[in-house]
Amino acid sequence: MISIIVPCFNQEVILGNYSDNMVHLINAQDRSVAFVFVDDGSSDNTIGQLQKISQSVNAKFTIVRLQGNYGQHNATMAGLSNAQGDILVTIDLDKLLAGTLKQLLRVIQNNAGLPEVTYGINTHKNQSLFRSMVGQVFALSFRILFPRVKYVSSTRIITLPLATRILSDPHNFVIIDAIINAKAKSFGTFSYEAADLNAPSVYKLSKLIKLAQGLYIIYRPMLLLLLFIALAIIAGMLINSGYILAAAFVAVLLILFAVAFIFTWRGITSRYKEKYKVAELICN
Amino acid sequence: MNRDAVNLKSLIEALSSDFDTLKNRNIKNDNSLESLLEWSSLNALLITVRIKQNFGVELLPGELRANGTFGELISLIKSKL
Repeated sequence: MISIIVPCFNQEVILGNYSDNMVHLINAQDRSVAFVFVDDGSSDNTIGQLQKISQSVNAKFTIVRLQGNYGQHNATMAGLSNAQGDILVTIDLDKLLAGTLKQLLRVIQNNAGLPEVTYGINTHKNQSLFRSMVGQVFALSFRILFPRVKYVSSTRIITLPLATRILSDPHNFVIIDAIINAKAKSFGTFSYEAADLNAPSVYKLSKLIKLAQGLYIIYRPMLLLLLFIALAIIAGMLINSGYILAAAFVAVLLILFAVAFIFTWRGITSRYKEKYKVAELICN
Repeated sequence: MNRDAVNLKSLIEALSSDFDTLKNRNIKNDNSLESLLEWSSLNALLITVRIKQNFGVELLPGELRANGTFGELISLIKSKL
């Protein structure tokens, strides 16, 4: 069995508009494919739309409703812990609607010996230069911290043994890919196309501070400290070489880690450390 | 729908229930979508749904661009009416 895990937050409008497409897509799969949708504490009627879809599909359809909004990674963890099957797929709702599932299932069916984790690469990335630069810097930072993961995305094919090890991770602050880096024995990637819904990621300051802080607290304090020092050195070198804009960019990263450090030092951390709680489990 | 009914005011009205960043702002046609709408692939999808619901226009893949402006989006909707 293959389980498809989809975290949702405030998706009432999209689910309502695309419910027919969703039902058609789910009913087109054979009985070996099950679906787990996680309502991550939505304030709208996402749960109602999911229940409506659940009543119209033939496949095994589970809704995990969380008590609050815990974030995408925590919601995905909740989905993993309530999924069944040998292969677990995590995917965003928009990618699911864009027809990525067909490509994903083809990869699974055509590869008997899949790596423990396989990340999907959207070949239709179309980002501005600035966003690409920001993305590259964070991808580089991630690669320094978690060198075994070569490419990260929210579209993942995860084998059951790895999922079991991921779920046994004791940390409350969850960055799944950091856990995967530590626990997976083999990695792979596959390419897919989701051109119609492609849009660049959002790099909000608060999101970055939260990420830096979480990484700092939980995963690799020493490596993050080294990264901080390396960034300071790079910023200094860039200023000396006259690359003021690039230096300013690195300085922003430095400030982020400094804020993360101060937050941690002053104990302003608790709200980032809460693990998800399931309010309700609904199965069709 | 009448083309004249598609303007900055009606576009903002169509999107403001989903995007708090549009409320109480002096938005102009040359403001970029990215600067005022929290841009992600899911939000891009949400915008296309709202445009379909409010103006009866279906945007094709790739037509909604983060680096476009409100004015460009209005022109695009009008061209499809």
